[in-house]
Formats: sequence, C-alpha cells, structure tokens
Amino acid sequence: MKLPDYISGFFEDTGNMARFVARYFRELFRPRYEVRQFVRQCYLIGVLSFPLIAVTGFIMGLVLTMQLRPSLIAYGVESQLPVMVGLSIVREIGPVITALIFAGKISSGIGAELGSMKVTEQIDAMEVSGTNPFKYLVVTRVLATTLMLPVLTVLSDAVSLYGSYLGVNIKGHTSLTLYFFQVFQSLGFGDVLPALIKTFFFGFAIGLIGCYMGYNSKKGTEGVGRSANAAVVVSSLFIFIIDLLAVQITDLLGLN
Amino acid sequence: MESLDARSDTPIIRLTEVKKSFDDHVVLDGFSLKVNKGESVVILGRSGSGKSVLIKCIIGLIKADQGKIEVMGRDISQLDTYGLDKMRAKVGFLFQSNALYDSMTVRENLLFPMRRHLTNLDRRESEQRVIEKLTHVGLADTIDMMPSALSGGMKKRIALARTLILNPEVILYDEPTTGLDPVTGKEISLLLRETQRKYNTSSLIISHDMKCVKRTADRIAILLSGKCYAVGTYDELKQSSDKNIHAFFE
Repeated sequence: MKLPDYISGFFEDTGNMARFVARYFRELFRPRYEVRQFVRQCYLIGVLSFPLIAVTGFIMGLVLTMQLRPSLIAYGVESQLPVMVGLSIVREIGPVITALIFAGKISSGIGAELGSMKVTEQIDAMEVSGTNPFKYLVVTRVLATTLMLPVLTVLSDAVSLYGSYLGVNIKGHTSLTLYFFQVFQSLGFGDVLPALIKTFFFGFAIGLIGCYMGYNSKKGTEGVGRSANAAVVVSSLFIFIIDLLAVQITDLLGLN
Repeated sequence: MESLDARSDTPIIRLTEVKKSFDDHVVLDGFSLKVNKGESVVILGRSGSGKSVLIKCIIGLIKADQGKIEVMGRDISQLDTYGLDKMRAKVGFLFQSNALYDSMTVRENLLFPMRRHLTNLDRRESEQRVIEKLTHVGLADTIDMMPSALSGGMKKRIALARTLILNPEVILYDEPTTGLDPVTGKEISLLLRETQRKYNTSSLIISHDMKCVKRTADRIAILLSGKCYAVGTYDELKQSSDKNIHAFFE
C-alpha cells in the first residue's frame, strides 16, 4: 500500500531534518572552526536585532502594565503590579515574544539568504573552492542564534521592565529603585533559570529551521520565497512546542 | 599557438563508462572521454542531455553511480574530503550562473578560495594576485564593487578571474556564453582561449553555442543519449553525414 504523498513527505522531511541535526553536531566539533564568520554572524544576528527587540520589549512592558492595572485595582492589589508584570515578563512573555520576533526577522532572513545561495549555485561554488559550506554557512548561523537569543531575551526583559516602570508611573508614582526592588524580590531561581535555558533551545530551533529550509531550497526563485515563509512558520510553531515541553519539564522538576 | 605546443597525450581527465541516474531517469549511460593536457575539449549536447551533470560529477559535486572518473591520474571516487579539496584546488570551475557571492565585494570573492588553499601568502601577495587576475579579465577597476552592480558579461569575467585565482591546471566551464549577447559572448570565448594560452591550462567546456564551440574547441565530444556519440575536430564533425551530428551544425 502506498502512503499518500503528504504523509510520506512528512516522514521524508522528518528524516532529512534529523540527518541535518546530526550533521550539525558532527560539524560543530570537527575542525576547522570558522571563528571569523561566527563572530560576524553574532554581530548580524544578535547586535543588529537589538533595536527591534528593544522596541517590541518596551511596548510589551508598557502595554502589559496598562492592561493589568484595572484588573488589579478591581481586586485591590494594585501594589502587586510590579510583581505580576515582572513574573509574566521574565517567565513567559519575554522569552516567547522575543523568540517570535527573532524568528520573524532572523529565520526568514536565513531561509531566504541560503535559499538564494543554493539556487544561484553559490553553495556549490563554496564547496568547489575548498570551503565546507555546511560549516561556513549553517554551523556559524545556528551557533550564533543559539547564543544570541538568550542575550537578547535578557536585554528585552530589562527594557520591558523599564517600559512597565514607565507604565506604572503614568497613573501613579513609584521610584525606579522601589519598582525594581519589588520585581527582583518576587523573582526566584526557578523563575529565571528555566526561562533562560529554554531560550537556548528557541535560538537553536530558529537557526536550524532557517538553515534547513534555505539549504534544501528547490524550484528556483519560487523556492526561495517558500523557504523564507516556511522558515518563519515552522520555527514559530517549534517555539510553542518547545515552550510547552519546557513548562512540563520545569513542572516535573518542581520549579514552577 | 602556445597551447597547442603545450598539448600532450597525457590525459588530465579520463572518464570511463560513467553512469548517472536520477530515480528512473538515466542521464549518463556509460559516457567515456579523455581530455589531454593543454587541450580544450567541448562537450556538445542538447539542453537537458546531462552536460552539466557530467562536469559536476568530474568536480565531485554529484557522485556518479558507476564508472571511473580520473582527474590528474587520481580516481575521484577514492578521494576523501581532504583529497577532494586538494584536487579541486587544481581544477577551476566556472558556473553557468557565475555563482559570485552576493554579500562580498569583487575583492572578497577572489580572496575567498585563497583563504583555504593559499594560507602561505601574506596580504600584499594575495592582493597582488587578485589584481593580476582582474587585470587579465580587464576589470581591475571593479575590485571594490558588489556583484549586483555588475553587468552579465562583467560577472562572467569576474567569475573567470575567481576560477583562475588558484592557478588551476584544468578549468571546467559550464555554458560560459549562455545568456550573453553575441558580442559579449564572442569576447568571453576569446578570453577563454587567451586564458588557456596565457596560463597553459586544459579546458573542458560544456556548451551548445556553436560560435563559442568553434572559437574554443580543439576537439568536440557529442553527448547523446547519455553516451559519447562522436569525437572529432569542428571541421571533421561538420562534414559528417550522420544526421545526429549534422543537426548541431545546421
């Protein structure tokens, strides 16, 4: 019995993806190391993403504070606003929103860039010139996304909390010191560490899916568009799947 | 002609019964050919006949299913990654699409192959070599330009300069004049001949542009139904009464 194309295609893609991941880990530890290209990718992927991440983080903190305030007033716990916002941002909203924005900017960019390099034979040219294109293009990008997203998330959390502080002061008055004292007093080891660890996995998935889609791009320029689109959609989906698994694991470990 | 003087009977590329299929589609069905040192051989075939697959098999970008591919006396199927890289340093490849790196300047495009193979050169020597190759293709003034700012003919010349940067012994050209206007096509054909003479390289050229074939070929091999159907000089094949051969010269 022959399986329908979409089912066999799903299994084929899953198998190819598994091979791609295995090759990534093989090439990651094998010399030669493309250090300069890795540093360049950290700059392009990490540093240049900061303005976008900071703006969205700031708005996220401000809006969250303004929307939470009426509910907390209704329950008479307005004083808990910094605690509520701090926990929400650090544990969940900060990592997930930052990862989604990052996926939209970086995963699609990687998918389109590698896809275009594939269809214009630039990847073949790299191989012919004696450079391992997988190591040069894929390993450096995936490593950069894996290491840069946690850094961006920490920065985004900080900017969000500052936005939240301004939100608190729109209709009230709290000093910066008191606001951050309340936020940090409510945060524990079990809030910060799992949230930070999952961002490494988010970053890994975003980079890997972007590279996989681009590296396996087919059908000319149409394929490049498809790769970029699929990279965003699939990596966004993976962010939620990883988040779900992370919640289950932290729950099992008693960190929730 | 210098290139003719330098020619010998020593094969620099020898293909023996090479076979390649994609699923059920047989592309190469026992192709055999020998390219001698200093010689320029054109593989002539219709679109989709497997010409590009054949030269990608020679450079190791595609693995042949069966048969033997020897480049400079080494069977490429026996080479590991390191051996393949060493072989590729001596074999230039000019892609049909030029394959210039979009994100790099012309200078960086030419320096890229050197970073792996010519680590003994200092910055000044590397720069000198880049300028020498760009001067050869007549585009030294484009050194700081991005590929997107170049015309199709200029991109082809820069791609040729990059192919020459490691001083290869043999160059594989994948349809070097496709997509170019007749005047630029003629210039590129003459540049290939000049390159062969100046750098004493051997050439294997894939083409179906008969003007390019006439200008560049010492010998022509016709690829038909996955096999080497005929081999001869331009004049020999042109006078052939075989309708399959004659079709290319009409």
